Amino acid sequence: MTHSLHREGTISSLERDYALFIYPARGFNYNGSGPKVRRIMELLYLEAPSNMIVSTLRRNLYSGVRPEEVLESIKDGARIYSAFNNREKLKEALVGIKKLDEGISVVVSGLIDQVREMAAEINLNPHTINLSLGIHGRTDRLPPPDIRQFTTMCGHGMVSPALVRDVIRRIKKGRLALWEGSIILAAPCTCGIYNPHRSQEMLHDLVPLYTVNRW
Amino acid sequence: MECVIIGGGAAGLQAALHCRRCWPEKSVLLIEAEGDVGYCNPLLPQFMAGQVEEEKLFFWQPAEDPLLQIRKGIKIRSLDRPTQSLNLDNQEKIRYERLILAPGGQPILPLLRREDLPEGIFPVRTLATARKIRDWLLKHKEIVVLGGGLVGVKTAAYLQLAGFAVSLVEKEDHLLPQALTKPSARLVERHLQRLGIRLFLGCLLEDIQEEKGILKSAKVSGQWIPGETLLIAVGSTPNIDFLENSGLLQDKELLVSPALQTADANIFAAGDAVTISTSGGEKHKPWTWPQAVTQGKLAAENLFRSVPLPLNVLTRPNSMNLQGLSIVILGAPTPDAAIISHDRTAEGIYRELFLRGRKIVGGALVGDISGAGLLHFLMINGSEVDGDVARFLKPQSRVFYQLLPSSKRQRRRARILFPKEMLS
Ligand SMILES: Cc1cc2nc3c(=O)[nH]c(=O)nc-3n(C[C@H](O)[C@H](O)[C@H](O)COP(=O)(O)OP(=O)(O)OC[C@H]3O[C@@H](n4cnc5c(N)ncnc54)[C@H](O)[C@@H]3O)c2cc1C
Repeated sequence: MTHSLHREGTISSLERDYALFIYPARGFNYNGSGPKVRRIMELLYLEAPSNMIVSTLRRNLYSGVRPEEVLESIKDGARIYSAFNNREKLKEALVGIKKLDEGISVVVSGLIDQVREMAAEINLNPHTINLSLGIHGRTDRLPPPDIRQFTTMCGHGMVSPALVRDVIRRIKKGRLALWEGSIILAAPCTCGIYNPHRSQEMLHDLVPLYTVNRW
Repeated sequence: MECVIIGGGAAGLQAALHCRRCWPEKSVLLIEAEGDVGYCNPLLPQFMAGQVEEEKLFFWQPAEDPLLQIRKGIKIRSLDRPTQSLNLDNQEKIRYERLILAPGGQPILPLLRREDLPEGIFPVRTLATARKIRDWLLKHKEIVVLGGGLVGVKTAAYLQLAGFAVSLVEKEDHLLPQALTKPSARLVERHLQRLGIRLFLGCLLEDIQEEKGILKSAKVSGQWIPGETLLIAVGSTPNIDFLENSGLLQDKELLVSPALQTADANIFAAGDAVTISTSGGEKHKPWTWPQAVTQGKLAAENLFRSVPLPLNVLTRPNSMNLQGLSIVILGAPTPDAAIISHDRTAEGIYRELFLRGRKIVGGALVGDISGAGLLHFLMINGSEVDGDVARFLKPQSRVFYQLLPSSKRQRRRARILFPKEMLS
């Protein structure tokens, strides 16, 4: 579950960005997990996450997919990937999941201090903690940090730096609104944890810093 | 209209003229809220003191050009980006293809948000108010200048020398806090005190007293200073209220890229209204006359350029001769920079450099400004200074003079050395 750990950005921005996963595991609770995941999914819909995908359909909240279609697709082994832009909403979701007590593994990813604090507030005791130790190797080949804030929101790196720049260009030319641009960036992320609310804020901050060079 | 420019100050006028030069087939409209365009703000203190006549302030006179239109006395009320149009205060609507925002700034007016202000209180910024100040000063000789920045210090010095009794109030504990450290500012303070100015450092304006609708005195940190004139030269707030609902402001700042483009690709901005933000996250506010001119020109060039170019100097160097004291400011002190200094305060000389690693990031030369050009060059090129950095700080005047023929030496000496009579 390391793919959500490398989100980059300022602390104030990351404070509004959490990933939540629901993962059945082979050999433990895989068989018969379908209805349980479905109940959790129903609950998550009520908590209005920023983005969400189920592994059996891979269409995010903004793709036009209807909740019934998503719920219908869920079968044994289906995993839920979601992103929250609000700490309190995530806490409510966790409280609900705890109450359901389906016995399916739950992973929360975010700033460690915040996540620990949240767990303490709702009386949860994390049994495993993974920490990101940063990125090593040929970091000079990576896109610049401001663009990485966007690209690292998709755990699998499916949001291309060129797309981010293109969206910035289109917004500056008045062809796209900030939210529309954000949805375009969220589309290639098939892990469903690209947070378009945070991305909208970041686009707003970044747009003046870039100069459009094609009229 | 193809290019519209808001503001006819240093940045706006240069933008308009440069636009005509770079894009001769495009029509340009410049809109200025006040009645004057093409005058030099930095000369306003001399003008108020009666040392410079009004016509000398104007460095530009309109020439016949059918594609350059200047409209004065009209204010922009709001900007409507979806329709690419501007709403003027006379209910008119003007469309633009490209827009340059150069509305400048104005002093911050503390405490004075009261409606019933007595006569005698003026912000120092425009020619219109400078005219009023000049007329007012014909009958009122005691002046309190609020703000010990560049504008306040210059205003105080020129008025004091013109025979007025000037008190200068600064809330920080030293003058020119944006540009100098305390020890270098000390020289400026001594100089002003010698001129006869009363300094109130680390003091705040708390209240004012009036008599028959005219200012009588100002209360500064508990002490009443008599004065019928209060000149406000505190800081600068950008004139960007009219952009409130335009979507161009972030945290009440008009952010632009290093190529001076705003969040809208068709809109550029220049001068004292803008904050330049780099992709590294640094913000620069180089609010000076030379920067306004350079930025105005660059914004005009970039308007239709296929590859807009960035501004290459983001610092705010400044030089002045403050009634006999030469000062060159290379860049402001920053908390993370190391300071090295050459202190000859007794001789009226203090030179300091601010270093990050081995790079010069700022500095100030007071009393002896020799080598300023070289230091500025090293700074803007980001050169690493090797060896003994302090050697750059030693005044080079003597070596320099020896190389000059004696007649030039005399002229040079007169221009840059600290006058002897000031030292006594
Ligand atoms: C007394 C004084 C002394 C100074 N001395 C120095 C010095 O020695 N060295 C130095 O480097 N700098 C100095 N400065 C600062 C320098 O003058 C400014 O940095 C420079 O003028 C900024 O240029 P600008 O075009 O951005 O703004 P401005 O010159 O202020 O011009 C902006 C113009 O826009 C107009 N405007 C604003 N809003 C609107 C609107 N809504 N619609 C239409 N028009 C509008 C205003 O009327 C104004 O004329 C001094 C300033 C003052 C006031």
